Amino acid sequence: MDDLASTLLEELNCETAFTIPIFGGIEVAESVVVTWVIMAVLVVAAICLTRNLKVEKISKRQLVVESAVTGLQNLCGGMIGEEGKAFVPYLVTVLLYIAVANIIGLFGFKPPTKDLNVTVALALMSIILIESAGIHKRGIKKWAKGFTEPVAVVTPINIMEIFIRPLSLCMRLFGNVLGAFVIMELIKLVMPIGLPIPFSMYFDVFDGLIQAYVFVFLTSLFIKEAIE
Amino acid sequence: MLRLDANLVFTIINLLILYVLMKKFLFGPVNKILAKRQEVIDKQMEEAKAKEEQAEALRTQYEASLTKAEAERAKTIADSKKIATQEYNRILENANEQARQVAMDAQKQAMIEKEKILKKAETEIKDLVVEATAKVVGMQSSEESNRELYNQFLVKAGDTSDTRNS
Repeated sequence: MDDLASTLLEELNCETAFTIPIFGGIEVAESVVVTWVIMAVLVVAAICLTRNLKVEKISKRQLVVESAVTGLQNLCGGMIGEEGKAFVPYLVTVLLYIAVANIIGLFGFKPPTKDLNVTVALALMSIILIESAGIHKRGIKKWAKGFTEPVAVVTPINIMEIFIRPLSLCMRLFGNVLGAFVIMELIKLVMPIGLPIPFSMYFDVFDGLIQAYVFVFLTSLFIKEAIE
Repeated sequence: MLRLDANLVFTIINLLILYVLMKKFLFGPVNKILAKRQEVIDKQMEEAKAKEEQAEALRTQYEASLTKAEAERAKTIADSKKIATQEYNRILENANEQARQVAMDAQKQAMIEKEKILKKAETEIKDLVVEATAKVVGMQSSEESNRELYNQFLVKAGDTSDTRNS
């Protein structure tokens, strides 16, 4: 039992991949390295898929790429509305990143979203985007005044929301992925052959994609609220 | 497991780089090609619309010219009918006039003929009368009346022979 616990803890640890030997050594976590891998995969896939696109007589590859990209853009565009069109590329990027990050566990990597650094970074970027969109749209005075709406009493709650929103975003993603990871590791320890497949389907693929969707959905919802 | 350090910043930088790269390599090309296709489709639609409008204009023009031709035809027919009627009336009048002329001529001729015949008859009757008278007078005549008669006869016979010769 002790053995199992220690193995599990070891798996849960976010290891340092390497250390940059400046400022007394900056530890670069595994999640960052895996993120690089994900970036490389996404960019290479994008470059390969969007090679010589044509206007007419398109290939099947182009058809797939076009449907996928327009589908994702419509998905995010539908959530954020017509006014937030400028945010659609970012939202789709985040959606793709989280989706790939969540299911990369299938390929033997540790999902970067299991590292709190990554989810906090995502949530921070989301809240910065939300509030800057609100400021940009309404102007700083109206934006600040927006905290007292609908009645002045709720102002503290509204201000707290600035911190609660990213916290809930990052913790939801982190908790889901971590939980799924822990369960999968336990199952793998108990029965490494056959049994993990259906669970992996649910925890890695389904839950991973759902969490990616939820993260982007909430972010776009908040942005929409901010710019309305 | 729960560590927060410089990796947060690294992740943010990574995400921003990924955003830029995706925009450049995925959304950029795909949206560009979609916009281009939209443009082509719009252009074709516009062309089709222009052609349709042109066809419609041509149709209107043809219809107008057709109507005009129809009107002209009707006018020509009406004119021809009018001219024909006039001509008909003229010819009829001419014919009537001629017929009248012919009839009048015939009447005149007949009158002349009749007069001629009458005169001839008169002369012949006169001759007969003279002859008869001569015969009667021959039977019972006086010298005086004889002469008188003879003179008369001469005058009349001269008249008659004049008429005959002329």
